[in-house]
Amino acid sequence: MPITREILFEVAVKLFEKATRSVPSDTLAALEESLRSETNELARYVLAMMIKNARMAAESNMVVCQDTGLPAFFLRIGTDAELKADPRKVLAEAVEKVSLEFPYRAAFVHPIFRDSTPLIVGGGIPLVICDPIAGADFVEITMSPQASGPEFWSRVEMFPPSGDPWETVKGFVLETVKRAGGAACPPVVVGVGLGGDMGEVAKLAKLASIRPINERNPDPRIASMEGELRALLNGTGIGPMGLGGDTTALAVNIEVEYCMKAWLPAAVCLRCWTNRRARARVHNDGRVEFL
Amino acid sequence: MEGWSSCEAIPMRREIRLRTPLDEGSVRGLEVGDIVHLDGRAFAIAYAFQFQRAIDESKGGKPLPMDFKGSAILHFPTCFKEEDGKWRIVYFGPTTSSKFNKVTPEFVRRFGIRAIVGKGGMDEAVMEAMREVGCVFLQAIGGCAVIYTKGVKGITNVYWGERHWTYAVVELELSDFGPLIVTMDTKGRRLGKEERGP
Repeated sequence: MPITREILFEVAVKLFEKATRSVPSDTLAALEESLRSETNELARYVLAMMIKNARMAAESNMVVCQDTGLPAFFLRIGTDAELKADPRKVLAEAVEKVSLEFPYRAAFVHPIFRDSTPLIVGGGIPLVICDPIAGADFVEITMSPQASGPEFWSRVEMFPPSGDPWETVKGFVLETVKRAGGAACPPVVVGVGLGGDMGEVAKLAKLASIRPINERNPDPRIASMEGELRALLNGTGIGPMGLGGDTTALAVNIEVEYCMKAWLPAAVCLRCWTNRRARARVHNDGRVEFL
Repeated sequence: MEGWSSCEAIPMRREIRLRTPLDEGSVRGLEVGDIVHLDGRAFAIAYAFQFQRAIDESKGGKPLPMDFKGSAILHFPTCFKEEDGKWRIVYFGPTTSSKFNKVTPEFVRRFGIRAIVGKGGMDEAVMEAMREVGCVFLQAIGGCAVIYTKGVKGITNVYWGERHWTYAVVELELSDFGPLIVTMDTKGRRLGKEERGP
């Protein structure tokens, strides 16, 4: 039994709804953990409101944030998966249905002409990013709305490899988070991409940003850098919503690939405290697992 | 870290409920760190060109369809729909206020605005206009659409949505709308750092 248009559409609708109307359980747990360790009184108040809002959204099927974001789907397609549908077309139909029914106010404009009648889908929206998985008989879909504030402050940079590369990366990540301040709606989740080329490093940062927040990089050297960076960011005093406190980053996730000798490509993708995303696997036999 | 003020310096936190139109005395009595809940009429405006339009039309002597005097301005992109001839709010929440830095000093002075509700604070020119007029900046917590939408009793009117409904100016009736944190008061004090961007 192949993965039909109907199954893909139904899963995409559920993922888009779930991603926009709840905070993922790993993120909610991290917020609760931060509430316990935070020493700043106002920061605790703000964190408690965030947790309350996340719970209320899930209970009432309401959107967590007014910014329902630019819809992005990250697909990992098994080479043995029998996908009998055009994912771009079906995912766009799912986004359109959810957006019109609720309705969502997100509407997208041409970068130059800033259309007076913005689009809900089309013109490249929703974003669909595909990667193969060798030998798998399923399609894994991660839906994640890209929110206006944190995405605006995200950065890609090509550094020369001179000096200490790790010091360069630390400085870059710290400066990016400080520059964003409260505008990225901290506590943030920070996805860092290192290596590849200009396009790949941005994609690595994006993929790092949607990784479960308690999952460390498999390379223990990189995993320890993730911890070091998180501690550094939490020492800035930016705090929840930029109003001060010990909680600035819920996680730092780094993804790495090799690069040319002449380069140190680096990218930082910021995500706000809601860290909205939802994931499912659709198998050839029609089974759907929400992860 | 330099540039980030700490709220540890604030001796007490008061919870205050205010009704619009806000009077100058109550607004001047607010201090950074106070937590405010609002009742009454407010306007949600989330695009700089709409502030500019209000300024331009008022300068040109054209009577505006709405009355901003003494009101609270919410930098809240608003999702609403029409049902049985009535406007109904679907959801709303704060956007980054510094996008409106340029148009705000004149807007606050011209219309006697008493409170701006948004996210991230505004620049020194806005602070100066706020001190002069008697207006505060109230920080809403980003990403808390459910909490803030619960504080809306209803939509009373929708203006200037010709370009697209998502750009409209929305007049609302608030009820126990909050919590909002005073982050810029009329004494020129500020909590957190002024930011730029969306």
